[in-house]
Amino acid sequence: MADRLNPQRATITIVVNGVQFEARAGDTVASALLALGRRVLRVTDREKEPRGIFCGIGMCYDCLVVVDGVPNQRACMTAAREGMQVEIQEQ
Amino acid sequence: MVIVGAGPAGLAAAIEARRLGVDVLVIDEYARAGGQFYKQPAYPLTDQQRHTLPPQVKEGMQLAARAASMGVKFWFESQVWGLFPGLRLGVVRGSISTEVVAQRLIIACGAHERCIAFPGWTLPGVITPGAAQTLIKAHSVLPGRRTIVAGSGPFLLAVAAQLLKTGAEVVTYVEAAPWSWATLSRFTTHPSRWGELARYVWPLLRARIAPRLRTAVIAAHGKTALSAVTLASLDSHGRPMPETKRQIEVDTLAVGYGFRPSCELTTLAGCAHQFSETAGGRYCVVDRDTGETNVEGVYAAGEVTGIGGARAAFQEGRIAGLSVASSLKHWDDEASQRLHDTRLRRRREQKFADLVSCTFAPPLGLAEFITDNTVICRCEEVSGRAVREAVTAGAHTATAIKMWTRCGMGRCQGRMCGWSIGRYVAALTGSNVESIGISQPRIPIKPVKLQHVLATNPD
Repeated sequence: MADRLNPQRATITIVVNGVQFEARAGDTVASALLALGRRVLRVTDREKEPRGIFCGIGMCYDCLVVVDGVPNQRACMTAAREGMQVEIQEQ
Repeated sequence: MVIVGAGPAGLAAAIEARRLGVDVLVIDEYARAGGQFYKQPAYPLTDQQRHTLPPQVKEGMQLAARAASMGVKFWFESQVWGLFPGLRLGVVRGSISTEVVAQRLIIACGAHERCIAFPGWTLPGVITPGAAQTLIKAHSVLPGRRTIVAGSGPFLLAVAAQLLKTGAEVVTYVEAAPWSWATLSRFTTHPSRWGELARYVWPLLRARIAPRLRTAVIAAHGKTALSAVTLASLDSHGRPMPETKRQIEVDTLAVGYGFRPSCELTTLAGCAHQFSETAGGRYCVVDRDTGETNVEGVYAAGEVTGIGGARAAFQEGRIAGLSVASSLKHWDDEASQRLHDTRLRRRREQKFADLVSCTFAPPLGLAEFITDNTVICRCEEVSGRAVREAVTAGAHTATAIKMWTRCGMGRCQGRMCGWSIGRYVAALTGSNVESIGISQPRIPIKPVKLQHVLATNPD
């Protein structure tokens, strides 16, 4: 879905729902997942609607994911780190 | 002195005050200085990248380096969540909250994007123009392949140009305001802006993208992510004309209608606010010659004092920084002259900002995009129908709507739905947007963990 503009950057490995993926230095969880083509970052409590990145600057709290076991972390404000465990609540 | 926000206003204030000997601490939520305008790349730069940085990125980098070399203290990734009597700030850093007592406080929190709700705007793939820019500038990831840029305001031009520069396909560029290429002639009185304007307009001309004016995206479609949008031309009130509807396939929509001042902290501080459409909505009132608010020791600068753009924000920051230094008896002869010059520059920038906001004023009819099935409040999942029924039942202010429907009560505290609520309720009740008011920000102004707050460390 999305492309990287300078893919030569150093790679790091993040784990998304138990599967290893490649990310780049300087990624947030949101930019890493977008580059992997994953747009759905959570499903809402009430209507079970998909949500993803919206404001991209930490204002809207719509891109919430579980990071290293801690729920409700803003994907757009969380820097991707080597070995980071990200869980996306998809259903 | 404590400054909240490390954007143009915050950095300018820090440098001026520090130069005169004031102890300055700048607190920012992000990992690096610059804020939204000077958005810095989050990845390590190669030498070649360092030499080809856009001017505003370079400018921000130099300002931040200058501030740091002068001894300005920075706290990054630090969330200000509350402000208490005696200018005591609650700041979460890492997993602990620290209480910071400021002798003087400059609030320079900037702005957030102005959004109007429409069917499908919650779909993944619908983002704000700011998000598109952040993905490109800070993380070097394209927001999508086929993109529409829509909404109103000159920022859309910047984002469309940036997308084109990176090789993304900009399917079309949609502007709700009755703007035209001829409108640009109004800007001939501001020659210092011609270069900037050319940088934005040229890529569009070269790619042969004609702006669709008085047009808006009125619906987004898709199952789990965006696959198409519906455009419609707007009538003279900004209402969509059904016979002009057409659908376009895209994977990304960057949509926004300008900016609203982020007034959470100035509100908690008890500062006076006023409402004006050209200032972006509700803004903090300051003495323009000093940056002082009506609350003792509290100053505000930049977009929180009304949307005026980065250049105005920069001058406002300098004014506030100089005034704080003066109030703390740090002064020299040069400072008097600087303050005088800065005030004149600020006035010039204000004139330009007023021209921009009049040219790109989003029409009132946008509220008609909201249908019964449209999600208005993204956090609490409140529908247009719920709000309409609340209005029918007698809830005619943002506060009443919040009590009735939970609209604006969620994690974003109404930042995303506030503008829609104002316009929608005003349209339903036949009143003006100002009278609808806002849903009052509450502590914590951004969600923080109770365990972090309980582990408060007095500083």
